[in-house]
Amino acid sequence: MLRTLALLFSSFIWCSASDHPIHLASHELTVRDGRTDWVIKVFTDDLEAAIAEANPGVKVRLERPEARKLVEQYVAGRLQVSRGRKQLPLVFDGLTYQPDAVEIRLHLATGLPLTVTDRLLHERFTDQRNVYFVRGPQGRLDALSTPSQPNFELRYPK
Amino acid sequence: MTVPPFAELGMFHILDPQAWDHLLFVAALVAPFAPKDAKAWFGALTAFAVGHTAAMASQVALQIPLPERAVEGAVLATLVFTSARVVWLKGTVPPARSWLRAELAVAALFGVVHGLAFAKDLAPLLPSDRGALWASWGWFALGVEVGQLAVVAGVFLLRAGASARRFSPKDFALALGALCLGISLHLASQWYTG
Repeated sequence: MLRTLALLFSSFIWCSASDHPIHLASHELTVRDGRTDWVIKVFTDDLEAAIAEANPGVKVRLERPEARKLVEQYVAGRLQVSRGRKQLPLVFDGLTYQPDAVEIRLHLATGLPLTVTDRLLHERFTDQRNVYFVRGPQGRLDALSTPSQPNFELRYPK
Repeated sequence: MTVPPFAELGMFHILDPQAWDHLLFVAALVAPFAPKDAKAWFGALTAFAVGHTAAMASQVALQIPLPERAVEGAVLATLVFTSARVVWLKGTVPPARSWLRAELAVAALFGVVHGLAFAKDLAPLLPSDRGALWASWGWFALGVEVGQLAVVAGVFLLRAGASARRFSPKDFALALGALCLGISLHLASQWYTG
């Protein structure tokens, strides 16, 4: 028992109090009038680290206007949408910076069904989860992208 | 179905191998109790759960900007206080009547502090659509409760193991309280210098 307690006690050296890493990004899709508005919320520090890793030597500060291009490139490289074999253009509308989380706004000039391949931040964390909330005229849908399953289909049941 | 990932996040927020503040708090809260003292430990745990669930819900709804560092410090203060109290009482169980008065209120108040910390970590990524937001919050809160019950089960298993090795319940509670206090002081020093 004492040995167990000593082992537990020694292991606390590696723990910290406040750093609870949540490896999550949320995607909200609103489908109406043949258009899909897409909002991604992602932790600022995670996105900065991912873009810095993809652009060695570049200092990434998302609050600066020049970061827009870097974010656009990163998202375009890691988020693809298609219908059948046809790739659909995902238009970058802008981003809103907050110290905690960045909101990235995109749109598609079409509604559902969509096939999504989402690898955002998958290269950073093996337990990254990108959660999808879809709202449209036919109701709500949800979906999940993980490093082991980055592809999924958004389609209302028949 | 997508929403259960939030339940998983809630559970591993408590059972986080890299950050032990919430886990140690729950361990220290139930340290003096045997499983048969269900009224006492379940009362304390429920008061704590009510506190953090209400605080998290309010913060998700109102999104009041709070100083992150102060919230983290307050969580550590609850941890130091709770584990120091176990040591101060030498691992004994306080009289049952007092649990029904001040101590439940204190557990609920400490729950509020922890709830603000949960909200701080989760709120920035919650969806803006009300239905999706509250569903995500609900699953996360449920996950937190499951995580807490897992900690309680772990403490009771350790207690049974200690008892089989002829540790008295008081000694076990004192050792666990001292362990939690030592770690919490270490975490507090990290927070102070961080």
